[in-house]
Amino acid sequence: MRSLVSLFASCILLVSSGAVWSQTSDEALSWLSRISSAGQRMNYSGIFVYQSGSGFETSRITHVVDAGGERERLEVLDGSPREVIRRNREVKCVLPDTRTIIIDRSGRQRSFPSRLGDAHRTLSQFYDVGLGAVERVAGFDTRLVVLAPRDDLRYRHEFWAELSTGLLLKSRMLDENGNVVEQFAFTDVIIGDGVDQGLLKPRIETNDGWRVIDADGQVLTSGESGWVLADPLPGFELRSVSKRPLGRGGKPILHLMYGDGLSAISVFIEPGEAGSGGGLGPLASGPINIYRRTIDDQLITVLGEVPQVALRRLGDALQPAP
Amino acid sequence: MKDEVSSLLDGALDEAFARQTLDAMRKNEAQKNQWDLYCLIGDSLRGDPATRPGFTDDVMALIRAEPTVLAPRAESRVAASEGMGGWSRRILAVAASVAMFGVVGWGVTSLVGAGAEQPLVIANEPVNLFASGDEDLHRNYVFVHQAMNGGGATPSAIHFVRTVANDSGVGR
Repeated sequence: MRSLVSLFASCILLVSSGAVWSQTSDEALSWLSRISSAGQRMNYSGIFVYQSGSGFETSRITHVVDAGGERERLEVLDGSPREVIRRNREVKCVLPDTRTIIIDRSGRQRSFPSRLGDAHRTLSQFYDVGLGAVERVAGFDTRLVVLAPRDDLRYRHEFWAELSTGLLLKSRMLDENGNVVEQFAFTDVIIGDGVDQGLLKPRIETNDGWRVIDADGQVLTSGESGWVLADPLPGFELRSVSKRPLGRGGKPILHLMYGDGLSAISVFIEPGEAGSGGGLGPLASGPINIYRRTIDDQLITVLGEVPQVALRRLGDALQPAP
Repeated sequence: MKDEVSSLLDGALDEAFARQTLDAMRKNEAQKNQWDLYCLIGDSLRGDPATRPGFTDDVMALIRAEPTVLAPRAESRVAASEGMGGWSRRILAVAASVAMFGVVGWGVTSLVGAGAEQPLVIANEPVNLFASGDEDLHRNYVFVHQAMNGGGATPSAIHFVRTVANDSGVGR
């Protein structure tokens, strides 16, 4: 009798904890929506520290929404001056060391979460989503939201969102061993009123002698890509296909983008040969892993903020469409 | 003022504000002690055998001996072209240890309730082995990837920092 009571109690606990967990997961997903919304509609300006591997770099970002739409500017405060300027759909990356400006006008896909229902379903399927404690970041109380991967194809993501506005003040990405892959955190931030719009003004002077790389692409349908996945990568769906003038000598290359609602993998396919550039196999660029292979006379570069195993699986599964 | 001392050690202050903060520390014993504390915490976390009595006095003596003060930065971000002197590197070693403390102190929170905080380990960073041409190519790829991805949950243009970060070179 006692064992039955214990079993019954255990079942009650299991069901109730499952109900609590479900509510926590829904609440955490709701926080993710708030984070995305706040980043788009709030005015804010502040200093943040960006960490990639063992390196740290300090930057300032200013974001303003007004009658003209969204404007923002990011300037790196350490080392050589670099800045990123965005006005609605157009983004410019200004690199004075190489006297280069990279421009894209395709506009950021609000993929997080672009379609709330689908994104939540995908995230819940491939991540354990939950809430952590309330912690202080840059003088503000924030709620910790954690997305722990359920497989080895994704990193663990942690987000600290300001309690009243939902603005993301800190985020961290960890690998399967708990090592920090990437982290950013505001050390000082103004939210809402008081943002100095003078900080939106570009600081770096450019002229006609600068190299301008227009990365804007021509959107294609998935059927027009000419490539298929022999073995789909769980959770990563094809989100976009485009052709861009980014190949060697400005030649057009094919750009495929896959996403799981949080992380993304880009595939760039161009004519090439083994040994061209930096070689093949697994590579890395800061927090972004890269994998290269060739098939026929095509060079495939796969990159994303995901573990190397995910890039390799997707890269090896790509085949020319029959 | 405590926040300013912390920010100074994190390299988050501009030169003018850093100078002001350091001047204030020289005149204010409490703020000097705060500096000492932050430095000792970082050294202790690293298990640095230099955390002996009088260690901080030695460090402050080094600071006082130098006529010019710069805001400390993480050591890995100091470019050779900036030409910083030996004392700056000693300060940077301290600042880096405290910055690392900041990372360690953030900890990891368990999904199923408050677990024991564990010190964080920094993942290995890649070594840049590639020629400048391929660096440009990969930077362009990363830029486009960021532009199309929208940065995930990261607000606005912050995710573009990956494109412009100094370590955006490619390696194994």
